[in-house]
Amino acid sequence: MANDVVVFADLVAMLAKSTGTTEALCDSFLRELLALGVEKLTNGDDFAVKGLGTFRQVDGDVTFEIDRNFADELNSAFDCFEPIELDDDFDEEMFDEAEQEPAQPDEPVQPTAEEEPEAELPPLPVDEPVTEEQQADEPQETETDEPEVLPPPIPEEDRLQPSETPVVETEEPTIAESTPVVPDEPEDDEYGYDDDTNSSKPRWRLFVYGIVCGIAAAAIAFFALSYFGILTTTQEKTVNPVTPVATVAVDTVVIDTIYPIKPHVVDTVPAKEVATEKIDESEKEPEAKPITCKVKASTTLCDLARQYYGDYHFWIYIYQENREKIKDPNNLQSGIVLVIPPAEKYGIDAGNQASIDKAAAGIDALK
Amino acid sequence: MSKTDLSNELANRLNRDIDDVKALLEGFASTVRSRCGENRTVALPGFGNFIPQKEDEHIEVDATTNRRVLMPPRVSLRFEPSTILKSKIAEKGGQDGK
Repeated sequence: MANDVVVFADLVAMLAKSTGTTEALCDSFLRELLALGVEKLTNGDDFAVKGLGTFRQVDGDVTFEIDRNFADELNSAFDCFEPIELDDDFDEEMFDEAEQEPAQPDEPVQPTAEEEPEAELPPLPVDEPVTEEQQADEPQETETDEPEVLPPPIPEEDRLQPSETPVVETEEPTIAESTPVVPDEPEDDEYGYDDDTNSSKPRWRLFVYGIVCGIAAAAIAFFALSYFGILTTTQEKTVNPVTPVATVAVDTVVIDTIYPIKPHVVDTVPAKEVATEKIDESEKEPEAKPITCKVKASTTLCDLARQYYGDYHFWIYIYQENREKIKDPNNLQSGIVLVIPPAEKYGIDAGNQASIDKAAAGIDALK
Repeated sequence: MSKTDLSNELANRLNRDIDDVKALLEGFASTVRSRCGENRTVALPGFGNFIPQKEDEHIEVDATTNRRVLMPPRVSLRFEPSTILKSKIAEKGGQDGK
């Protein structure tokens, strides 16, 4: 695994920052230092840098003897470890890979690291005291580039020929086949719809249930009110709550027939009692109970006849029934209580002309 | 070449005070040491590269006792001279040989 590389420019910047000087000075210093080192080694002399080590030329090759303190500082993380003598029965298989790893750094990493900074070396300004050797060497650096940087060529066997078309193996499943289609009922574990749908389902259902219950309650309340409302007017519990209108109609017809509504007639008997009496009379035909009424001012016998019998001619029967109380049939005394005879007693029938003629004859006879 | 000679030579070339040159030398060495301690390669153009390497623990055989020894891991510094330097040395050697 290649290390990060500190190039010349970075080194200049770091040196300038650490020493508090300008980068130009550091740049010229480093160039002079390296040039001096190359000169010394070329001449066969040692080149020692305090704090780093000593460079020596041995048989055309350059060796580096690291400074002791530098080496200790570099290996400070592993200083605590000491060589351990192993037993005879110790298994070495676990260290086979570790023994092979030190060989990996021998791969041609240095040329790339070496050539990159050399290529990145900025051109020297003319004013700076640079030796001609360096200026002559720099163009050569590009010429002497070794092909070691290039990656190894791909074997022809592995190359994709132009005639060959990339064949998609049919055995391999396509994306459409491999990926499952989202079902109508989403799976709970895969798509995470669970939380949303599960949480929304009961809420949605509760909302619907609430609406339905509210409508049902309103309908029940409406029918109940109408049911009880009918009972209060008719006082009959036989009324069917589903069809209260029909029963009311029947009752009203009966009431209207028996008690035609006249605004100026005041009944001494309460309506409920009168109604019950009338209902009782209608049910009990053989027993005709007399009806009484209290006369108000400006009430005439004709008015009473119209009210109770449907025709004014029948006043004669009311007069005959109350002859003792009525002195003048044309002028009734206010406050007296008259008895209204039942229609069957005198054969009163407002729809029968003969009955009317009979009543008229009675009136003529009275005159 | 001693270290004092190196400082004097650089001071003459740079036309600088020797104390400044010594400070720059110390700064240079300190920078290289710190970067190598970070496991980073320091490239000196035209000269060579300082490459820190970590050696894993491995088993060696002690030649004297003929017993196996587990060597602990360690970090070492390898200097790889540049091709330019090698070529110059080779040219010089050829010239000297002539």
